[in-house]
Formats: sequence, C-alpha cells, structure tokens
Amino acid sequence: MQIRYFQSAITLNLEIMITRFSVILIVLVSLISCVEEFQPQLNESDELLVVDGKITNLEGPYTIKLSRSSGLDIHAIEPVAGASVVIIEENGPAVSLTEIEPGTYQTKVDGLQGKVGKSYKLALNIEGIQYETDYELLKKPTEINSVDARFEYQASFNSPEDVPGIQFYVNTDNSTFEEDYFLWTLEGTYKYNASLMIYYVYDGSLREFDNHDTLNTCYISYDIGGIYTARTANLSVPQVLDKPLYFLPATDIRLSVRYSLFTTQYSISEEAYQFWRQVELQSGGGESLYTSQPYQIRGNVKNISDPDEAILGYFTVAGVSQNRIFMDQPAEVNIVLEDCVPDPMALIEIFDSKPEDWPIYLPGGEGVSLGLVNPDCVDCQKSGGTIEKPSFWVD
Amino acid sequence: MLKTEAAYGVHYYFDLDDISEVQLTKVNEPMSLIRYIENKLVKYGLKVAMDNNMNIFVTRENAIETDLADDIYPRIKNNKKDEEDKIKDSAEFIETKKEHLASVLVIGNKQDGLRSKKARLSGHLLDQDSTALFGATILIEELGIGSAGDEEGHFEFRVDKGSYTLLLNEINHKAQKIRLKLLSDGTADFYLEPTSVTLEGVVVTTGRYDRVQNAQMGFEQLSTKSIKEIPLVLGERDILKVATLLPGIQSVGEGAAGFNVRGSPADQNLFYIDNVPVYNTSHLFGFFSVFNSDAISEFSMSKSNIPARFGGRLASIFDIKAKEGDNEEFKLRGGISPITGSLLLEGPIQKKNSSFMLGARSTYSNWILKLIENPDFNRSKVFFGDGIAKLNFNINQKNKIQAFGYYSLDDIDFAGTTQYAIENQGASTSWKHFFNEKNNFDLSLIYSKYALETENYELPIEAYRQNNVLSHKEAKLDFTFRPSSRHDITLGGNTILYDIDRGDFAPAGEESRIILLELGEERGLESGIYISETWSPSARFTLIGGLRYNWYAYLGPQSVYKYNPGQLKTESSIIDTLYFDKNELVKTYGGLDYRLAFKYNITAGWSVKGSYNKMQQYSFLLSNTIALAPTDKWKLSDYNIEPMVGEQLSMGVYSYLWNKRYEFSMEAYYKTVDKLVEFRDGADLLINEVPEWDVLQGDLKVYGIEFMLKKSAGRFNGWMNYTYSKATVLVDNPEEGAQINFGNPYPANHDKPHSVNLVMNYKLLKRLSFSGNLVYSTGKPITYPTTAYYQDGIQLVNFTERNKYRIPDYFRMDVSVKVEGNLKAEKFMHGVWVFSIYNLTGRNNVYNEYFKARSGTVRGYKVSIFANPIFSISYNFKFGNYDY
Repeated sequence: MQIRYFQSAITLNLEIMITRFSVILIVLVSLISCVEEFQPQLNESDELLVVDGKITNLEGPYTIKLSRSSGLDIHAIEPVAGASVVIIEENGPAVSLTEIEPGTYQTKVDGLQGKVGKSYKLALNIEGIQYETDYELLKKPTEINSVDARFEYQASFNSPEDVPGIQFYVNTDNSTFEEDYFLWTLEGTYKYNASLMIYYVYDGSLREFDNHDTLNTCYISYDIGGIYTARTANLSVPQVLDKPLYFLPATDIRLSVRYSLFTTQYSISEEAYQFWRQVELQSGGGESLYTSQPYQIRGNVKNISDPDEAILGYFTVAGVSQNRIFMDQPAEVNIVLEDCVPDPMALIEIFDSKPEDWPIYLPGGEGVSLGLVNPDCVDCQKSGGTIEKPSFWVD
Repeated sequence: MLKTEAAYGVHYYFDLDDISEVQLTKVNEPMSLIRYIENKLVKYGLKVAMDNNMNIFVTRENAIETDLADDIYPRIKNNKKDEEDKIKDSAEFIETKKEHLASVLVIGNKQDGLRSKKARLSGHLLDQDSTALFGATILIEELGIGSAGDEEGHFEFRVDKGSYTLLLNEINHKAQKIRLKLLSDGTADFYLEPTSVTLEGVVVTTGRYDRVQNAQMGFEQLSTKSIKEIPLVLGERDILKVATLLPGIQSVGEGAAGFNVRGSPADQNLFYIDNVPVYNTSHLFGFFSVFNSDAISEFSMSKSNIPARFGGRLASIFDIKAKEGDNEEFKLRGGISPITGSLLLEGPIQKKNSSFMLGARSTYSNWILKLIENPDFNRSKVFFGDGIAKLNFNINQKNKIQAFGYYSLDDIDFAGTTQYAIENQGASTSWKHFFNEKNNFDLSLIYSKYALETENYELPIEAYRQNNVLSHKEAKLDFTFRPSSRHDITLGGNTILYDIDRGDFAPAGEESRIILLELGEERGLESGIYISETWSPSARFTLIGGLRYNWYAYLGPQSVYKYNPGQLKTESSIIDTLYFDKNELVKTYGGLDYRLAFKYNITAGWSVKGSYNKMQQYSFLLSNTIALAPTDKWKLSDYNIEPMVGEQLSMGVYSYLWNKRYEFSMEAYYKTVDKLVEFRDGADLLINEVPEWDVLQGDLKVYGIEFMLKKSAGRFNGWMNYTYSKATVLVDNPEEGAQINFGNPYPANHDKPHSVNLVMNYKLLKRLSFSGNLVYSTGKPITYPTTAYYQDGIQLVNFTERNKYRIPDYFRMDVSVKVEGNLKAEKFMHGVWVFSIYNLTGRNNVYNEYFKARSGTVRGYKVSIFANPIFSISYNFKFGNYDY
C-alpha cells in the first residue's frame, strides 16, 4: 500500500499552484475574478453519528465526544448522552469512560495511560447498537526538530496583490519508521497592547488613574483551525522538511507585539492519515479551477451490525510531540492598528453614562489630549484578551 | 383535392388560409389536372403552378416559378461527400471564368453519342479561385431538373442528348445562364463570379450542408469565414469556442478545456485536423483553443450518425480542415490581439498545380507580466504558440497528394515554482487516387504525439518532475465507389498503434527527496474495417447503412494484476500477476459498430430523419476534476478496464421556412454509454500507478431535444437554438465499495438541462457590421454539504448526495463591432478592426461553489471567472484587396 497514497502529498501543491496560476491569468487579462460569500439553502438533513477523540502517549485524561449532527448549523449538534464508551488496549484492559457532561466522555485522571507500542480501539454502545474501530498502534512519536517562522509575501485570492505575513514551517526529526504519517494541530497566542495608556477613570466621578499600563497588555490564545498532514512514504529519507503550516498575514493585531505558535505533532497510522488527508483536501477550498467532486468521508468507527451506516469522525491513536516558538513583530511590516484619537467634544457624554458602563477609562499622557475614546483603545480586554500572562509565555 | 394527390401522384403546396373558401366540383370531362385546378382556382384569385416533380403550388399572389421550385428542391444526384477531383478533359474543357457565355457550350461529339440516347454531364461548380461551391445548383431550364455541387463542387446528371439552357445558382454568386449542346458524355467546370461586395451580407455559414436534403443528422458545419463577426473573448477568434454556441455542445465553464457533446464527458470527442488527431485542444489550460482560426477553413462535427469511417469515440467527431494554400498567387495575412499575434502565408509552389500554406501564432504577452509590480508575476512566464503547414500537389488528373504538419506548445512557468510544457505534434500525408470520376481511394499515414511535462518546486523536498507522452501512428485507406447515381459506397479500414509512456515521477532539484517512480509504458492496437452505403431509391428517400468491425488489442510488454472476482479491485484483492512479452496480446476486445440512418422528404421543404449508432471507445482521460485539468493524461483500455460502448438513437424534423430564408430543425435523441469510466471518491490521479484501483465503470444515460432556427444569408443573419437535455450517471457495481453516490444515479457534472444560444449579425454598411451573442444555460450541478460537525475543535462539513444542487444559471451577452478598412481596389493592404465586449452585462456567472464551516455555520463561496465586461480590440490585416 505504500505507493498508492503517496500521491496525495503532492496534490495540495498542485492545487496551490493552480490557484496561483488563476491569479496570474486574471491579472494578465486585467480581470477581476471574484469570490462571493453566500448562505447555502438546503431542503434536507440527515442525522449522523459523529465521533471525536484521541488517545496519545501524553498524560490523560482522554476525551471522546459523541454527537449527532444534522443540517449545516453547527449549533444544532446534539450530544449523544448515556452511551457506553470503552477504550480497549489490545491484550490489555478495557477502560470505561465516564460521561462528564452530556456527550462528553472522559477517562479518569489517574486512569488509562496511552503507551507507545500498544494498540487501542474504541467500542461504543449507543442505545443497544454496537460500534467499534479496529485496533490502531500508538506509534513512537517522531520529535519536532524545529518550527520556523519566515517573513513572506503570498498570493491571495481576495487581493490582487500579495499579502505580507509569517509563514510557519515544520521540520521533523528522522522518523524511526520507514514510512511515517503526520498530523499537526496548531494553537496561536499573541500579546498585544491597547493603543493608549489610562490616565483618568470615571465611575460616577472623574479621577486620576495611577497605574497607566494596568489594562494595556493582553494575551489571547486561539485554535488555528487548519488541518496539516504529511507523509514520508514517497521520500528517500523519512523526514519532513519545510512543511508549510499556517500563514499569518501581517496585517492585523496578532503580529503587532509578540506571537507564539504551539505545534502539536501526531504520528498516526496510514489509515488515520488517509482520513485527515481527505478532510484536509476537502476543506481546503474550491478557488481552484480544477476541483474534484466532494464526497462523504467516513471515519474508522463502524456499526457492527450495519456496516453501511455513515459515521463521521475518527478515533485517532497517536504518538505526540510538541513545540512552542515565539516571535516579535516582523521588522518588515508596520502594522497600522485602529486609529485612537480622543474626542474632547464627546467627553461631556460620560456624565450622562449609566453605572453599568462604568468604569470609563480615559487616555492621557504626553501628546494625548483628554477626550473620549472607544473602550478598546485603552482597555485591551475589550478586544477579547486577558491581562493574565499565560504560564508558558516568555518575553 | 387530397384524393387527386393520391390518384395522380401529385403533391399540393398551399397556404390553408388561401384555399379555405375554395370548393372544387366534380370533373365530368377529361382535362389535364393542372388545367382543371387552374380553372377552378382562378376565380378565387389563386395561381397554380406545377413542376416536374408533380408538385402543385397554389399561391394567392404570384404563381410560383417551378424552375425555382426545383432550385428549392434540387435533384441532388449525390449529396454524399464525394471525393472526385476536377478531371479536365482537354477537348471538352471550357473555362467560363472570363465572361458570361454568349455562345453555345458544346459537350462531346456526335460520334461518341451515337450509341445512346442519353448523355451524362458532370463537372464542378467552382468559385473563381477554384474553391468548390457546395450546394450551388445547376439546372436544365427546359427539363426542370438538375444537380447540386457536393463537397468538391462536383455535379452530375444524365439527360437526353440535345440543346438546353443551364441555370447556375449559388447564394453568394451571380446567377448564370449558359446554353448547352450535349452530344455525348462529357465534363465541364463552371466558375461562378462572386456577387459584388455591396450586395454581400454577413454570411454566417457557407450553407454547404443542406440541413433538409442531406441524410446526415446531428451534423454541424462552420467555416472560419462565417465566424469572423462573432464576438471574441480577449480578441481571439476561436472557431471551437464558437462551437459551444451550437445545440448540444457545452463547456463545463468559462475557461474550461474540452466540450461536452450531448451529455458525454469531454474525452468522448475526437478532434481531427486534416486526419491528425489532436489529444489536447487547449492553450492556456482551456482559455483558448489550439487551432489558429486563420489557418482553418472549416470544421464539421457529427454528434448523431457518425460516419462509419470514424471509430473510437462515442460522442462526436470534429473534423477540422486546414486551409488549402492558394495555387494562383501569394497571400500574406495576419492579426494582432491583446494576447497573440499571428501570420499566415500561402501561395503556389507550381502555379495551379501545387500550393503551400504556413501559419504561425504566438503569445507576445509576457510584457504584461513584467509590468505588474509583483515579484511572482515578474518571474513568471506564459507562452503558447502553434504552427501549421499544409502542402497540396496535384500530380496529375488522377493523383493528388497532400502533406500536413501541426505543432503546438504551451510553456508556462509560475515564478520558478511550477512549470508546464504541453506539446502537440502531428503530421499526415494522404494520397488520393481517382480511378475515374466516380471511384477513388484515399490513403493516409498519420502521426500524432501529445507530450506533457510538469515540474513542481513548491516544496523543495518534494519537488518533482513528471512526464507523459502519447503517440498515435495510424494508417488508413478509404475507397469511394459510386456504381450508380443512387448508390454511394465507402469502404476501408484503419489501424492505429498507440504508445503511451506513462512517464516517471522523478525528483527535481538537489533538495528533492522524492523517490523515483517509473509508471511504465503501455501499447495498444486499434483496427477497424468498415463498409457503408448510401442508397437513394428516390430523391425523397435516402438510406445509410454502415458496419464497422473494431478489433482492439492491449499489447505487452506488460505485467497486469488479476483480482478476485466479486471484490473491489484493490491491492488486497490481487490474486495473481500476469506477465506478457513484447507485443504479446494481453487482452483483446472486438466489437461490431452499427450505423443506420434514413432521410425522407415529406414535402420539398420538410424532411424527417432518423439514425441509430453503436460505437466503441478504447481510450479515456484520467480526469476526475469537474473541468479538464492541465495534468490529465490519456489511458488505454486494458486488462482490467474495459472499453466504453455507446449507443444513440436520434430522430429529427428539418425544414426550410419563409421561402428558404430560414432553416429549422428539431432533433431528439436517446443515448447510453456502457462501461463509462468514473473514478472512486477522492481518487488522486496525479500519480496513478495502478489505474484500475481508482477506476469504477458505470452507465451514462442521456436524452434531449434540440431546436435550431438559422438564417444563413442576408444583412441580418444568425441562429437561435434551444436544447433540453438530461445526463445521468449510475455507478452501482455489485462489489462492495464499487459504487459512487451510494449506488444511486446522479446528474453528470456537465448536465445543464436548459440551454439557449442566440447569435446575431447585422451588416449596417459595407464596412461596418455588428454582432451579438446571448447565452443562457441552467447552472451545472454541484454537491452541497448536508452536515456540519466538529473534529478536534475544527469545524468540518460532510457531503452526501452527488450533484443534487445547482449553481446559479449562466447568462452572458457579448457584442462586437467590425470595421473594415477602405474597399478601394488595387491597394497594398486591407485591415479589419474588431472591437468586442465579452459579458456586456458584467454578470458574475458562477464557475464553482465551495463550502467552509466557519464560526458555527457553513458558508458557501461562489467563484466567478469573468465577472466584469471584458473589452478587447484586435486587428487583422491582409496584403492586397479586401476579399473576405
């Protein structure tokens, strides 16, 4: 089976290329090809069981989520409660998971520990119907050698000009397997500042505010919802080099001060790779002129008595390694943030404000006139962050 | 009145309104029918005329000239594609090129004519530059009978010896009257003088294919001359893009390569240019066709009853004819559009006997890329070009030799990261020998090669190079016999040797760690013999019957897998590997093709036709993208992948309307394809090492009805058509996993049920004409997601039923204005400017839709390609006077 699937690794490049080629052609003839958003209208829906969970060599607890999905509204996903969920180690124990909230099942804190070299499978019993996966090996994780951040300009379908930004690349160590399969998930954290320092506060009365930078620096962590896969089966050395991950455009607040990327690398089975690879390709977008037909991607969970039942999602068994990098604002770009000019004329409004809007912070300092500004100009938390520095953060 | 129709074998033509009040009384005395009717009708103000076909015309205003009626309904002795040459009998040859013939044209001599009462006159109806005038008519005024020029302008009739007046007619030429004294069998060529420029309308079609009279159905013909008015995208006149305005021919989307003819996938069409098959017909991945329209004289395409001499494709044959060089004088012409420049040179090698034509076209537009201040564009290169050459030699009266060569190249480099080289090469020679006027053979040797090479440096460690070469070597021999004027027999055969080098998937660059993979070679031999007869028992009725036997062999050296029957073909179901030596038969397939067709004229202006076809196809494209992708490769049927078999049944009604100014046709068809090649979900065909693991074979069913109304001549002309069609695919094999769409039928990717095309040209002034197109079609089908779900915190969508939904309908309007240079005689150069706007309304026609789950809901995205009006200017010039 080696050769059959190594094709996939290259297709993405091809698609990127074709997308870029379309851009070139479009510019060539001074056209504007456009992508317009719309709300798809459906007159049907089918209810499908969705399985979502992993077991790794990291410390537990491990979580399995079961849900039933219907329609395109992701909020309409209904948890599947009251199921029996068991993770079975081959030639080892079968461990039941406890439902900690409807549809979310977890192993005990000191309970099951995934071990490298062992095989695991998932067994479910939902209202008397038996589901299970095949055993999959928990592979010895291949370490991340490095994650690199490089400043680049990249083509964008939304803009005729290339966009500056940071492209992250991952390099693995040499794998101990002749053929290794990888999945990466990413989490980003950024530090940012409110534009102005606080000099005054109004909470019924207008007072001076001493610790000007109290609400100036915040941190936000977010999941980068991309899927990144790779394989070494077609390579002469079982090592992934310069695999492009996430491209972060240097046009917004995220790169304005300091950024951290946390990379989780899963060493997975060939079957799991196929699942994630297909999902990656299918969610990759259709800007290309040469898309192929989308289709239903089924996971590894099977209904024992009805193999035709469509079940979405994959129970992934993986060896994990992790990596965190930090980087400051790239010197090449000057990120222009929201213009915060205090409005002295609007200052009078604070005296009409209601208590639920208090406290109202006002900027000041050198060269800044006293006036009313948008709250997020002085209070970084208003942009969604927290002033608490994450434990992993290194400045 | 209708009783007399049966009793006297006559046919009436009348307008019901005219005769509704007419009462005919019983006849008591013997008198001629015509006289009787005339007498009875004259009091109603009606006029009567009868022609030699026993057709009686009743009209209110003017009596119909039955001579002209014959013109409408010419006695086409032979409307089959005749391959006769202009055999010039020196004694009898008369050139009428100079002037109208005042004197008598004497054919033959009394001595030769002694033995028989009748004599045959044959010859050619030609333009002054010796091009054949298909459809030109020659009538014997006194007898009211005549003939019409066929594809070679050839005509023939056999009448009593005697003196006659000949009437020569052709729509774009001056009518001529010639006095003839026919003493014995003989030949004469007639050269008609074109009507003067002032009278010439914008001619959309040459009108050479007579939709009503010809037994051929599902047939379209377009000449380059005829499309010169049609608006251009990006200033490129493109004869194949115009084909998509004809009924039953569609493209998947703008800028997409390939055509879908009557619901078939694009790989079921065969494109021949002077016998050379062209395996990739697109430049720049589909935006332009590889045929330089200046070098093309015309193309014809058959989508119903494909002639028996063609095999190997199920949906259509596009037969493109390159221009034959002028054998009298040298001519040079050229053109400049925003994208390309082209030049065409033609002239005699030896005056009157041989000629050459050389054409070249190339992009010059890299300068645009350089203008863009973007390093990626600056480092990019987009080149395409093509060259064409044709030589014609008339060795003597009985032998004619033609040599043809073709080359096209696309060389595209995107910023050094991805490179494409796509190349077509082709050559053919043919020798046409005439045993006599009626019988001939045509022997052709053909070579064609399609090569594709890509290099990708996007990811240095996975940088790769891939190549693929298909070569096609063919020999074919066609005989044409015409034992009598009612029978026309063609028979012959061809054999094709295919060699496909499936290429290597190889590392590129020093950093690449790709492991070299050799995909190997394959070889196939496709041979066919056929016989076809066109039999016209009467002028009203024509029957075509054809049989073609195909024999296909997949040849070694090859190693093939044998699979456990009843199981999906995958690595795990392999039970044996078979090895074959060089040229050993790996697998053979034989199949009998049928061709049946008839035409019946209900009246002079109305005919019905029907046809049934069965065909086999032994190659297909490895393509699972919705539009053809530049990396798609051809594959032969092999040990595990069976040939496709197609059948089609069509019926049609054809008519002239409004005094022959309009042609109307309606065709309905039902078509099936067995063993249609489809691909498993998610099949990745970039490196397709074991093709059968990705292929699933199924059925295609298509039915449709096509309406076409066409006005060919006049200042205002054009056509309008409407098509309703439905193409459905079913892949439901018994093996587990060998289904697509859960084994349910689904609309084909290119299924667009309603389609309307309107093409209009209006010649306002001698030098100024306007044209416009309107194109409408139902949006193509698309697979919508039906479920959203989470996986590891990532929102995903799930798709279920294939092609259940549709993208928005397509609508486009184009206009163009053509301005000719001055029409002075004896000038050095003549120029033509064409200004055109493509997609005048700027409608965002959706090319594709895709979906992403984002912030709790699934969003759809519509991609449009030409979302704005596109203005372009092109300039064409020719040395010498205006003549086109």
